[in-house]
Amino acid sequence: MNKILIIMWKDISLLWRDRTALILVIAGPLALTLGMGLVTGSFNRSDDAPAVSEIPVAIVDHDDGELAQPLIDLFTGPDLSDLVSAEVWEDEAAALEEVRAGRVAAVIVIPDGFSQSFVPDMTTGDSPAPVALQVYGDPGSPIRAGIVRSIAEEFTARAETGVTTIRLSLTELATSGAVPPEQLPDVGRALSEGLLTGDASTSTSGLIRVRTETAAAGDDDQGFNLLSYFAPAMALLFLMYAVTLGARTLLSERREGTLARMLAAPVTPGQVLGGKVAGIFLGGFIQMAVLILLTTVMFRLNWGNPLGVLLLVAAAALAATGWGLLIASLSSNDSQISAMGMALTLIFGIVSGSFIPGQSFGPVMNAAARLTPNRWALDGFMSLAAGDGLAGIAAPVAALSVMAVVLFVASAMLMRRRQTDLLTG
Amino acid sequence: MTESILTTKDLRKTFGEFEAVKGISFSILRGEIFSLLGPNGAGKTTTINMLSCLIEATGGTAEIAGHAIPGDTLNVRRAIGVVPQEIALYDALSARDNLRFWGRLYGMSGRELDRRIDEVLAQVGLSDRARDAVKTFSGGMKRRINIAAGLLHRPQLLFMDEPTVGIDPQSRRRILDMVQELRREGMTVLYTTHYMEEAEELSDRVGIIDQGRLIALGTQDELKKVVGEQETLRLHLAEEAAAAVSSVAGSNGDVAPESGGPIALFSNLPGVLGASAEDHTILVNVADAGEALPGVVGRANDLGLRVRSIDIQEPNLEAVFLHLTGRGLRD
Repeated sequence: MNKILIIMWKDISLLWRDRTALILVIAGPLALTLGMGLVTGSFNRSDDAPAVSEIPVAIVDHDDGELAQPLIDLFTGPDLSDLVSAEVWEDEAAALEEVRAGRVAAVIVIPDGFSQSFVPDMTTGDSPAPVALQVYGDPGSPIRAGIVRSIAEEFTARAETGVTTIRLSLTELATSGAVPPEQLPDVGRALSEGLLTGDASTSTSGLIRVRTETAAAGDDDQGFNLLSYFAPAMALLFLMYAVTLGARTLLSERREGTLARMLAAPVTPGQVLGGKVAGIFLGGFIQMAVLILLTTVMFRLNWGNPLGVLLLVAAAALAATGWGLLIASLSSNDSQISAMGMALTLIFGIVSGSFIPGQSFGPVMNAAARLTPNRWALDGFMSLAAGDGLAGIAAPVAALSVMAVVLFVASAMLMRRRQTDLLTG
Repeated sequence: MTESILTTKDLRKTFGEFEAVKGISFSILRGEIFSLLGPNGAGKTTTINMLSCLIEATGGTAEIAGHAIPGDTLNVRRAIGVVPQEIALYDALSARDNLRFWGRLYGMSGRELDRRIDEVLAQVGLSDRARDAVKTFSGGMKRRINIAAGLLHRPQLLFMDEPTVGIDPQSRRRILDMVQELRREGMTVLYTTHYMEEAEELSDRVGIIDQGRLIALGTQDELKKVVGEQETLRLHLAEEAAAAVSSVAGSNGDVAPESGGPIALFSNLPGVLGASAEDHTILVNVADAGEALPGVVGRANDLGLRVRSIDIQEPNLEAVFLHLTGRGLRD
């Protein structure tokens, strides 16, 4: 064990002295996180406010109908007060000027006839021509504008569902003969009033709950913060790169003769490999820990339960080390490791959705994402950031551990098959 | 110097179809410097790698300090120190940190290790550079730290695999002096080289190895008896010898280049036993220098070789190798 620690410590010392690599694996993810934050508008707000919360929204109501008010209530009500900060504007042109200037993230224009467009003709059952809700977004804050747009879209979708339900109910009542044909318009009007008043508010309450869950990324008023996603995503991306750098030393040590020299000392091949693996793991672990510390200080991120973060970082570093070893066992020289490692880093980053939060590429790609340590670890970090305890990361930690074991075994088998080649060239 | 510290019996190594070492048997006595002398590719490094337990022998056995190969590899590794042919150090670490790492691998620690690091740094003349990163060192300085790392744990037997390859004459001199110093301290050394002069200067006994076989073994006097009273004429040319021989052979219809180079040019002269080329010199092995010299000079003139000077050399290991193989050490 002592020899393993000696070799591991030597590798950490070498990593510490490799300033270029150090800058790359620490400054790289920080810069990318910062860049993502700027692109998504996460830094447009004042210093003390959470990065994505209290999104400024202007609402212009030309409709003044029964559906307009619930929509305004939804945006101005207490349930979304952490996420959006909405104001009703009289002057549409002035509101649009605000969004052009970047002072509000989006303007919602409720056109005249919007509410009536949901009320079907009570005699024919046909719907009137649709009147679309207009949402103007600030191109400088695409994510925040997107959040506003998705809330508005869900609101209208719920209203449309209600209309479809009324139409189906009227058809059913007519065909079954439960209601005489001459009474159908009255029944229809009653159902519509329910949609536009009480039922609609029930619907939007449902909507509010959905949004509240998403917004509650941290339960300490942190609000929905995209940096909570990008920081671990970028850290994990560079974790893969860091373990690749570590794995590369396995072959560079062979090339430089230090591996053979170690094996000529009273050290077993298992201890040498154990030391190298421990060095790769610890290097990755330290990199993640430093990034978590820095992003906590610099971006005021709340990573969640510290013990959970520690466990998750360890599991992610272990699984990434497994991938690094597999690459090393499949490569003939350190250039091959670098090329394969870089390719795997990028592929894992894309497949796991590290660059686009909440992306979905369909079932095949989603299944492929489960082969990456990035996806599992990201799920875990999101869960911790949402305030979940250790139970919330049980599945990610278990999956990452299994992944590590499988990759270690596979790498060991491959290395054993070519041990002479790997260790002595 | 009576007890053997290393004994090999019929040691063999094959890589696929290629037989790199073809059954080598020899012993090294405690306190002696034993050189394995042979050209590149003769099997010297493969032999050291088997004795360092880095690669398994295909056949045969060895024993080092009472520990068997194969079998007791960990104890063998404790008993030996290895100075590999390549500079096996970490460039980014300082000389002291490198030595500290290698010392720890041999179980050394604390003050004992620090003291020993100071000693070996003084021994290799680099005490004042202890804190500097190895990457700032010259090739010769790196070679010296490479040797220091092998000496650190006071091995019973030190393997030095071509430790002077690729360095300047001054650094080479320093390393040879260092090995002489080790001899005075009673260290046992197995030294491999393809430089005849190094083997002659350093060795108590020499094993001459060629194409995986140990073709001669003994003290230098014993080996020189193999060639009897033979002498060597050294013809120093104005140009690189191999190129000159090749151009002469190409222009001379009765001497084809593939027929054996210098041997083909001089071997039919009376009293000439063999010839080889080395740098700017053609070595002609003769029974009697006085008798053969006029013929050799005449042949050189006839061939148009621009001879700048001629030395007559008493029998040496180069002549022994030439006598045994018909080739020079660097052919």
